[in-house]
Amino acid sequence: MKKKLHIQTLLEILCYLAFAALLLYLCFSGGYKMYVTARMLPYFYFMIAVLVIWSLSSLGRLFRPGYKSRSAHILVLLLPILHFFLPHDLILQSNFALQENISASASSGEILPADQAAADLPPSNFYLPLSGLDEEEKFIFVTDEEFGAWYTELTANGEAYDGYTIRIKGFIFKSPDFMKENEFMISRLLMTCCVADVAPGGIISVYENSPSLAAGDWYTLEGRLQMEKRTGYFVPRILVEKLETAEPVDGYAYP
Amino acid sequence: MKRPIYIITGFLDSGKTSLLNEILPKRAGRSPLVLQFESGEEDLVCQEPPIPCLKFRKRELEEASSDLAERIAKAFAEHRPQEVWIEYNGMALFSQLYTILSSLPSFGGEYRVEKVIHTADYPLFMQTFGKTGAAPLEQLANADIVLAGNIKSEEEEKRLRRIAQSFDSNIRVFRREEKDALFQELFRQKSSLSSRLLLSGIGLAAVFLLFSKLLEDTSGKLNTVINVFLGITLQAFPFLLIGVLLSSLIQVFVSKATIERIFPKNLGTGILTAIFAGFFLPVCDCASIPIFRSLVRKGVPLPAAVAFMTATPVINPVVMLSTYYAFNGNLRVVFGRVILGILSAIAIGLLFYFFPARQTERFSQIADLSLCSCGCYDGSEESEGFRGKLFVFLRHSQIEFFNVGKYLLIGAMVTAILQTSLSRSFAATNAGGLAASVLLLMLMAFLLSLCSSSDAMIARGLAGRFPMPAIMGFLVFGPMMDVKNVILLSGYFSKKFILRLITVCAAVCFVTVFLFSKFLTGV
Repeated sequence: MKKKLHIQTLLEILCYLAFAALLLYLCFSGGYKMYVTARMLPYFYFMIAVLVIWSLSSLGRLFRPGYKSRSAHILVLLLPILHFFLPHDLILQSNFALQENISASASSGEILPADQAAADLPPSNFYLPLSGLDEEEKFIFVTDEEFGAWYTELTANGEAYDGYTIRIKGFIFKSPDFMKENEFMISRLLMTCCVADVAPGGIISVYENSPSLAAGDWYTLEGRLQMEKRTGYFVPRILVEKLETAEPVDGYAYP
Repeated sequence: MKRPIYIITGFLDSGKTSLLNEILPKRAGRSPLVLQFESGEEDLVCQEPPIPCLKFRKRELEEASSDLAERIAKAFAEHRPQEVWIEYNGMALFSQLYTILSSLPSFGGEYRVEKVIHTADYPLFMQTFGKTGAAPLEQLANADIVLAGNIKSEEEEKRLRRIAQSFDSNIRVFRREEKDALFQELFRQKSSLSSRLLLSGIGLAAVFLLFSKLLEDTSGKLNTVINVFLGITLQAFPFLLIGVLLSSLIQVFVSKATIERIFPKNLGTGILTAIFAGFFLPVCDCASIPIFRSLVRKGVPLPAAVAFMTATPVINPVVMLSTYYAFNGNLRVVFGRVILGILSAIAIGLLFYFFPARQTERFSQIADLSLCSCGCYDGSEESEGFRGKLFVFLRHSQIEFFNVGKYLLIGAMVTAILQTSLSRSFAATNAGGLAASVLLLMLMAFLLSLCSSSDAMIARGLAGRFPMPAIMGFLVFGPMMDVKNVILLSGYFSKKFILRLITVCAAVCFVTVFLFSKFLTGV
């Protein structure tokens, strides 16, 4: 008598391992950043561990005789894997209405302007120390990687940087909803939790020639940070002094 | 061509022997062999020409299966039957029989199990089903055909079909009277597993290629849908996994008696205990639903369990921290969210106490049973002791993951499509009074199905355009109920119950938020 492989168990084990491999690949290649933030990493490692334990514990059933073999349920793991292999790319800025009133946009997330946070009790910073801070020269150089971290820091602790000169790169985002004629937001697409909440976010910048700037174009700007009281809260503003076109940055920023 | 083995399973007195008595005369020419594992009221009429028939007692089945296998092997060798008919014992596990059969030297090569027929006497079936241990469930789950006796109406037939197909959608159900159809199905060649897998593989590949073609242009909305779907799935799976593991832990390791002993019977303390437990479980809504189901099954009173389910995703430490962080340390928002969450959960629990749901309303009982029949008991002889329980726990969590996972995927897909197609204009228009904006944001939270650990960030984005009570409605109602949760719940509970849950949660959240709006905007 030859031992017969139980197909259902085999398929299940293959799916566990395939999903674990996908997660492992996403963790190590940094590919996860396209879908979720780094905060998910420990959870991914946990899931990989469980999937491997599941596979190992199923090995014993691999040759246990069973009359029926089901297979439809493995789609639960298979479908996300297949979706991953479908061609897809980062969500583009152009998906968010850039010049129109944002209320008309069909965006998937909410716009996060730095000035609408109710910032009356500054928390300790989650990202310190941040590079690019020169306290003697009162200068902040925001690297592409730290856009999100500086966004958070300036929103929360803006007072500490009043009068600093800041150099920051992003795209132009305009919304008549909460910006004046001579203002734009120097923005990146921010991912707070997962790609479902990606939305443009940044710091409002004041610039005379603002109306001539095309929304969605990338610039590096330099200007002075000024805290301004709006709707009862102090929020950061950049008074733009220098503006130069820049190459677009791939990927999202993570506040 | 392999020689077929036909197995008839079913409860005592469900008509197994009489079915055999109808079939065997027609099969006499194929020199059948009969194996009987049950002796009911009706006797097998092994008439002219006499059909060889071996009888076994249930005890033998349990005690010495190798001995039993030898006797069967000998009978096979002696009679060289062209087909074998087995009448199985109604209270024995199907897997026991299948294991014995697969240990026969001629199994797989010469013989194979062709069809499994499960007989059911409708009134008896409805009376005993799910109350007589694992074996009948497992037998039904392994059947190809269900033969139903004493069915009085279309309604009853439909009901039985629904139960049977919840175990396996391929099960065919026939009435006892439909003999022609039964025989046709019985002797119809079934397609092999490999050909079915191949076909579905080809189908899947075709759909995949089609979508690959459609998605070549990654600037469209479809790209966003794929992104959001993957984002939500990757985000939710680990949490669902935590929920499923905890729920299986309760299922397998904690006995009903223990829960009854330690869980307070008193309504008030019961609800408070539930909320206290919710406070310490860092899980989001994907995890709280499977745990909720386990608690209800283990006898935790419904008001307390509902309070647990609605409170956990709102008030746990992870959510509090993310709210604190999103609102830049505004403690008023954090405490407002926690307090309103607790108050709503208590009110929802009380409503379920004063207007209790009928037992039948609650579970889609079928789904609950089928969960445990399609694998958990396949190695029941090993489920003794800690090691055995550990394996049952692992298996249970896998099955539950697949079971709930499919609803999560549907929820994620629906949410992804909703998120990409919903125009924000409905959210940006802040017309109408306070009540309108509270309702609007509650509706938005329901449709967007954000994870409760991330919704605070979105709420902050809305804070500029909406009054604080509306934001609170978003923060409190969203984690309790949303599209994804409703689809998840439908894996466990009946439509009626879910509808009731949604209505109660929505009403309570609205009233709580509205009543406390003074406190929120006042200070």
